[in-house]
Amino acid sequence: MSVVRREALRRWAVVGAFVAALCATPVALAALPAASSGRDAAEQLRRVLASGGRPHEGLIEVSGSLGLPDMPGLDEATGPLHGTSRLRTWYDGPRRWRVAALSTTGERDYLGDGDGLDVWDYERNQLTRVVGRPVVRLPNASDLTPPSLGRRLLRLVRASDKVTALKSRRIAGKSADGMRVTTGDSDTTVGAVDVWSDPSTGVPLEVHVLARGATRPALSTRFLEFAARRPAADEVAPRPARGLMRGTVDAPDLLSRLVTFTNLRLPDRLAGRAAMPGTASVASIRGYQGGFASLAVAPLPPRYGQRLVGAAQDAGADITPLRLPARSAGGSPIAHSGEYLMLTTPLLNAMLFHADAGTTFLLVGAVRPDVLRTAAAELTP
Amino acid sequence: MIRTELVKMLRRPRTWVSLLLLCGLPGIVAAFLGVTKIAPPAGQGPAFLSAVLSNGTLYPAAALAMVLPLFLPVSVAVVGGDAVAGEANSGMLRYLLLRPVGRTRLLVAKLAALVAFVLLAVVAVTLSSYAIGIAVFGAKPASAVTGASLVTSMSGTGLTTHQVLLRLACAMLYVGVSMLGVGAIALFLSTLTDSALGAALGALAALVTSQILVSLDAAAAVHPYLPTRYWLAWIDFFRAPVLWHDIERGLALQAVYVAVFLAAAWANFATRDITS
Repeated sequence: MSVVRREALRRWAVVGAFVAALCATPVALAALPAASSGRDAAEQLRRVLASGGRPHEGLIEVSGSLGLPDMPGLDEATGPLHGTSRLRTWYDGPRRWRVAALSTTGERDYLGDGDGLDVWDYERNQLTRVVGRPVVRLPNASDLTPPSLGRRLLRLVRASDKVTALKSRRIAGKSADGMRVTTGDSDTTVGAVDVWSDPSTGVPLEVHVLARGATRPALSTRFLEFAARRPAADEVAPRPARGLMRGTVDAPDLLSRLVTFTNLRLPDRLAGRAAMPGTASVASIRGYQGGFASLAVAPLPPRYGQRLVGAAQDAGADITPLRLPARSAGGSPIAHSGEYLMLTTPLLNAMLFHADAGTTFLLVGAVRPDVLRTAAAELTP
Repeated sequence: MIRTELVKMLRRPRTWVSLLLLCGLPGIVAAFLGVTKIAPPAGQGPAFLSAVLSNGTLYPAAALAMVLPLFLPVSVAVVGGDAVAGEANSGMLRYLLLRPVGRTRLLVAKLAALVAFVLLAVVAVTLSSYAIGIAVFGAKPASAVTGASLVTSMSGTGLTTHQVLLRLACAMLYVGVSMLGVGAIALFLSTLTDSALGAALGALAALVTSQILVSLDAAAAVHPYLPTRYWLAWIDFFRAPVLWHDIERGLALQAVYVAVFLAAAWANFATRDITS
């Protein structure tokens, strides 16, 4: 071998070793063992549910693969459920927090305080004050932080669900305790919920929601950076620029606005589920609680209902007649009829039901389509 | 050696034509916006383009967002690809190496010239678009802002003139650093071939591949290692507080790309047979 060739090999070997060391670094960091606090699943569950007052801040990544079609008026709620998005959170307590949904062209901030909510939209250059707490509202980005989503889901756990411990893992550079809730109700499409939490505070750091039979999460949210400290005052509630365009509303989204446009009273029970407490004053839009198999029903104004039906048809849903026997109050079988479109995803199913009486209903939940059909059949007298 | 390369780069008409084209795009866009006053709809178009209609101070940020995805990397790839291959193609490389300079020094000098071009490009785009922005859109405080603030940050807080200029300078430097990875890839390819065009196209192929993978959720596992992954992190300078997470990773990633491809260029070029 010539001297030049040997020298070339030596140089390439140096470069190869350098590249190998660089490539090995993230693998080695990822392989760092996670310490376990030794807490069992029940104790973890208790600590997570009690972590609502723990201040923290961090950067979050949300990944969803629900594949819901674009529906007019619902994009703010369904958008984060597909693809990857980033959030920042500053949490000083349940009455003082800020969540910023980041994009490459702007930012939408949700700033909660004791009296209501401020929503800043950079691209619309609009600061909106939501007065009071709406009885019903659509979910938004602030519901997808690991602490918010984790606690909300774990509050749905019932005796029939199985809670087991998972192996600890490192999240945002910290060791985190893990637990899995395997759902016991066959009505729900949710197969399992995995929650990893900060051992010192109980704050959820990562949450996975798996559809029944799936091995990969349909929705996951996790901290990329996390600090269990009280955020600075000017970070959790930054002072808006003077003179900003401001507006005040008492209905932050389409769902809460629908409350004022519809007066059809929904039943107190539907598909064997009782209406959720707190929605009695808003009887036109109701949630029906069944643990993970809960569902929500909203009658839609005619024109908006037609727009949603059109969007669902564009997404490939077919109109199907609904003819299911149901029992009247007296116990005798009666037949209800109408048409429906079903939008199905591995985790969330939505049904647009147009009753023969003329009203269009939106039924949505992490439940099997059969459950939605049963609920729809009970909707009209 | 470095001075020689810098002077050579500055004397080339191609350098100035590239800069003119880079500065021209924001100029054309400003002309249309200034005449029609039609801002892109929310969530569409380059960042900050809607905001500049009421205050031109932010126009350099919009201009950087315009040239960053394609124009700037193309010009950097062309300059980087030409660094060594251009000399070989013109038959000058063997004469260049007859001078009492090492090949490693020549590579470092070529890299320095490339860095100088990148800085020159981002400074030219920033300064020209600042002048265009002020001339077309004015420098009065944004329509919705009063008091000491000039514009709003992405988080809705007020930014004074000083804060805007400081963040623009940081964004400009970050965009410049972001181009170094592409430049280093082009420089490496330039040592492999005598075709400057081939080297530039090779770097652009790497760039396009990276851009496609970055937009693909299925490739999320490799996103943190793609050269274009953190290119848009300069926008985070305009949030309150500044989000450093991606900026830090972007700077580190570009340093790694420069180190790896400069080392590869060195390994290849130091013992390569020079035939032209």
